[in-house]
Amino acid sequence: MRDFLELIVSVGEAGSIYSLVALAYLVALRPTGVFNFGLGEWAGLGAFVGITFVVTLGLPYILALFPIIAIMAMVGYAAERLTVRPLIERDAPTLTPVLALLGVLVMTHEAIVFFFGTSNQYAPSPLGDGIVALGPFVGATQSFLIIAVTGGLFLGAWYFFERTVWGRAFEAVALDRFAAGVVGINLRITSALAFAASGAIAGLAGLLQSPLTSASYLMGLPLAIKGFSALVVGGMGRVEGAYFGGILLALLEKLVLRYAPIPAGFAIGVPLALLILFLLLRPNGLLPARTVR
Amino acid sequence: MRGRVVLAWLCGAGLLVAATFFLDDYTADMFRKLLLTTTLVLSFNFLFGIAGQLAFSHVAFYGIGAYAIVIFAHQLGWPLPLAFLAAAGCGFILSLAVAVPSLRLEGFYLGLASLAFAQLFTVVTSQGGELTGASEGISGFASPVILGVRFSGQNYLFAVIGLFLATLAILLAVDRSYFGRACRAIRDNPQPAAAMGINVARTKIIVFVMTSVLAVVAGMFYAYSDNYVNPFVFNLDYMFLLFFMVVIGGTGRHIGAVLGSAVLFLLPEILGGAVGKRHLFFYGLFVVMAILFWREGLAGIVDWLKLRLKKAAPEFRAAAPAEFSLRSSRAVGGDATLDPKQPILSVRGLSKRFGGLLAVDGVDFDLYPGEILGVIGPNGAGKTTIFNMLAGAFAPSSGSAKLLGQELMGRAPHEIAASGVMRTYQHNRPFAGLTVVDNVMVGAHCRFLSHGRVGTKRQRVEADVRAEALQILDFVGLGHLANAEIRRLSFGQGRLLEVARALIGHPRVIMFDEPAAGLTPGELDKLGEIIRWISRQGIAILLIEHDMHFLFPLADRAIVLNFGRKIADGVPKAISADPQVIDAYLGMAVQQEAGVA
Repeated sequence: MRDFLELIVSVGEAGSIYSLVALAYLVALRPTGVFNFGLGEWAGLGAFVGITFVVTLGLPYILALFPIIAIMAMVGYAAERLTVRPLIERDAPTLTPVLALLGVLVMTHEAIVFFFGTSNQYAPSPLGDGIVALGPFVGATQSFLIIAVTGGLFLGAWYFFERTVWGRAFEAVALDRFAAGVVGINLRITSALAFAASGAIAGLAGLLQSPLTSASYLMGLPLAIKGFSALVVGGMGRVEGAYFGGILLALLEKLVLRYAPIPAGFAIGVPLALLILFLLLRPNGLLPARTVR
Repeated sequence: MRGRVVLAWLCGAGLLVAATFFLDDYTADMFRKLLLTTTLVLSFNFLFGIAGQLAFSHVAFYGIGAYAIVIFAHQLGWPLPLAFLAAAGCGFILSLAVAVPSLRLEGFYLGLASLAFAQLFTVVTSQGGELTGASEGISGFASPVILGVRFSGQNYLFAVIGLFLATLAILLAVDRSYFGRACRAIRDNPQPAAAMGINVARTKIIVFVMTSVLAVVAGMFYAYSDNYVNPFVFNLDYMFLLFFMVVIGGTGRHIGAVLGSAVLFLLPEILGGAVGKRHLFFYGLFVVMAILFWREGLAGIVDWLKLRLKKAAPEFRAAAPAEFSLRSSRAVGGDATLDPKQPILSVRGLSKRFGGLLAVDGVDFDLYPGEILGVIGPNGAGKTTIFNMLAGAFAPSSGSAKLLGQELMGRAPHEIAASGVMRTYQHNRPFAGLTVVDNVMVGAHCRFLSHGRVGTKRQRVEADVRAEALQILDFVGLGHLANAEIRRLSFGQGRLLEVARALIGHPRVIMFDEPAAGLTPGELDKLGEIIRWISRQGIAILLIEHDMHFLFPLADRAIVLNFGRKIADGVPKAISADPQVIDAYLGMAVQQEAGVA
């Protein structure tokens, strides 16, 4: 029983991180149609920027959050402004901005190695490294923080996309860029905001994960893969899909790790297996987009 | 011509072989690694540059080849030919497993699946225990001996040169066939490619498997480069390097793949310590810059040199007289055996619902051989939706459409095209990366499938189709632009290209979606002539048109749609007098004018 309760906490924590990365993909994908494979590296960057402000500069965590989020949003904005937008406005094939972002991916990765090195770095948790018990659930305080922050962010994202004019505008741009422009939606601001938000969310995912695993220059790729697997599993049409996809992926991964007699690294096969299974059987994911009304 | 090609290949091979005699140990090592990388870049260029597939698994398949041959031939001790086949078989099955789920769907799914696959490969090899040697890799196995020759040192270099030339020859042969044209067409514009009879998903899967197996074979050669395989050679850094080599070289160009690979491979050697080990950062920067400002890449320099040194292939050719010869009219014509009294296409109760909107509501009509049937109605009446259903692009909500008694609904677009129903689009949808004549030839894709997939038969069909494409281009008045790039065409010329592309498919039915929109008066007359000529060949024509001055004199009959329903069906004169039609669409003024016309 205790085993099971611990499992629930670790699934909630890992699943939250995956769903955050999935959300970061989704936010940028919706209005631009561009899939940014470099998001994992941005998550890694978020972790290291966090260490820079909290450990190196010694800022209190709450204060450090502002520059961290701002820098990650700037990274996203700059990528959109300098690579994606010029290509979209030139009517280049969709593949071209995706390709340019691969260049950005490699640049981000190399910059992380250059500035922060290749050794793992300890990242402190804002709530300390203790273990707490919340009712029957026992886990690291950071785990509970991750679950709470992610839950809050998803509620906010859901409200934004479903209930606000700006959120509907994102949706409209995703459906038909040209028509959305005609009815007065500012395409430039929408795309720029989307990429800035995407960078901030990805950076937050890395920042939240780093106290549990420590920050590493290699942390980006697994996060990228798990994030998009969660996105496909959940369905790209809806925000809630990203959340449930992340949780389902984490659940399967933890079960395999616990019960299957394979080396721990092989668990990276779980997202691939799940991805292929969903592409074959349910390509629209758990929660398909609502049909046009 | 053929002799010159053979001579060129012999010269190239001779040069590469001769080079091996002037190398010391270090440069020989560089040379074979460069050749292996270039081989890999060539096949990746086909996958990514020519077929437009975003995949991250190419290096992983290279690694699978290397590991598989070592495991089968040395760990398990199988005879070399058997190990070779087993390794290639592994590559074949694994590439199918990645491609089939992800390529049936449109989008970036292949990118996702192949990235996860590549990561899994790294993990499996570095944690695979004794079988893969874990992170230490496998080393110390002997070079193979085939027919008494040991493949090490210079002999190995010869083998790698052979691999490079063979890969290049295979890729060139495939690229210069209808299949390569189909790949580029899918890359540029998948929907019209399907409407020309190309099975998009199947073609994509074949390309992925073919190039992945080529990577597997190259990997087998790599294994004997240092007689050492380890997981870190086949990592994502190398994969990104391949992307960068293709883009810097010039995406989709074979010469670009060779140049890009050579330049990016040798640059760190030349610069030495100047950029240190982190040269990938600068490569990433170069690539972003190249995508933004230098799309033609290194291949563009070659084109420029060619243009300066000698006259490149002329873009414009002298137009032949715009008369169709008897030979080609026979080739284009519909079936003379068809009974003109029997409908060739019967549509019954065709409906399409989008959510709450009934876009097409129970439409019936018949179309007879050689008939020109106008389809008119206000915007949003469902005209193009009917075309999309008949072409298989949308599945109907209900209803049927029979071509000579055979049901079309429920079939895929390429199957419908193959059965003889071709279409044009409301907005020009050319294949931007192909020349004008190649655009037209894509329309004849089905003829290769039925008459000449391989060998001399294919070459004969290719020659026939090219000759016919040129004739059709002359006929529609684009003959002088046959070798031009698509961006040179005016809007009206692009409309006529769509007509030519549909015509070469030897259709029984052609659906024209507003072919006259945006044409100059001269082009309009030309188009009218062309459509009349097509109908005289016995081909049935469905014609959506808003310009009644153009349509009414041309059409034998017209149907009128309003809010998805057919409200009238008859000869143009009767239609233009129908009060319901006037009310819904024509208005008074047009009625009077058209009545006169």
